[in-house]
Amino acid sequence: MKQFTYTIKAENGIHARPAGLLVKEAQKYESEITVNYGEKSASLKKLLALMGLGIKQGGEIVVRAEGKDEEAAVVFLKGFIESNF
Amino acid sequence: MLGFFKKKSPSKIFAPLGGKAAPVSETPDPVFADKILGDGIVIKPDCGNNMVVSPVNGKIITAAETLHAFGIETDDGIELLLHIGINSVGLKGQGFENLVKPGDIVKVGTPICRVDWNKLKEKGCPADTPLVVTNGDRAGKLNIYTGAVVAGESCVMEYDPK
Repeated sequence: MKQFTYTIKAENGIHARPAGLLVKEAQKYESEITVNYGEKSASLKKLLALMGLGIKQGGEIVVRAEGKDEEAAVVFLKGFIESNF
Repeated sequence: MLGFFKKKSPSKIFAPLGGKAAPVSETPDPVFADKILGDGIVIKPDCGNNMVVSPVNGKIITAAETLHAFGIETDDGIELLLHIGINSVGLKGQGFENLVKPGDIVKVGTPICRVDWNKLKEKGCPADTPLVVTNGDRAGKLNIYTGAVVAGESCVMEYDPK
C-alpha cells in the first residue's frame, strides 16, 4: 500500500468538473484507490462518491493506492492533485 | 425469439428543465463536451422557468455546497451528474436555491433547485446545463433524444440497466 497526504489549495475545493478529471485519471490504474477526508472515505474512481465528500479548500486528504500499479498511481496522482487542487 | 419478449423496457431519463436538448458534445466546456464526466445531454434552458426538477426516480447522493451540481442515483443504480450552468461554481451559491439534501428520495419532476438565470448571465456563466451518466458502464447502450423539451415530461435519454 502506498499513500500520500495533501492539503487542498484550490479555492473551490474538489468540485464536480475537476473531480471528473481526477476520477478519469484514477480509473486508468488497476489498483484500488481511495481518498480519506476527515472521517469519511470514498473510492477515487467514483465521481459521485468523491463529490459527496465535499472536500474544501484547506482540507487534508489522504490518498491510498493498493494493487499492482500502486507506486505509479500514487506518483502520478500526487502530481495531478498538486497541480490541479 | 422469446428473449425479445422477455426483454425489459428501457429506463427513461427525463428533462430536468425546459429548453432545447442537444448531445453533451455541444456543451461550451471541453470537459463536458469530451464526455470526460460521462455521456449524456446538455440543455440550453429557455430561462422562462426557474425550476430544475429531478430527471429520474432515485436518491440525491450529493448536492454541492455551491448548489450548482447534483449527483443523483436512479433506483436501478445509474449515477447522474446534473451541472447547472457552466463555470457556475464561481457563483458560490448565488442565484441557486437548493430544495433537496443528500439522502432525499426524489421522483421524476420533484423540484430540486430554483435558479435565477439572470444571476448566471450577470456573472458571464452560460446557462447550458449538462446531464450526464457518470457510471456509463452500468447503463448499457444509451439512447439520446434531442430537441425542444419540457421539464419532467420529455424523455431525453434511455438506457438498459445491467
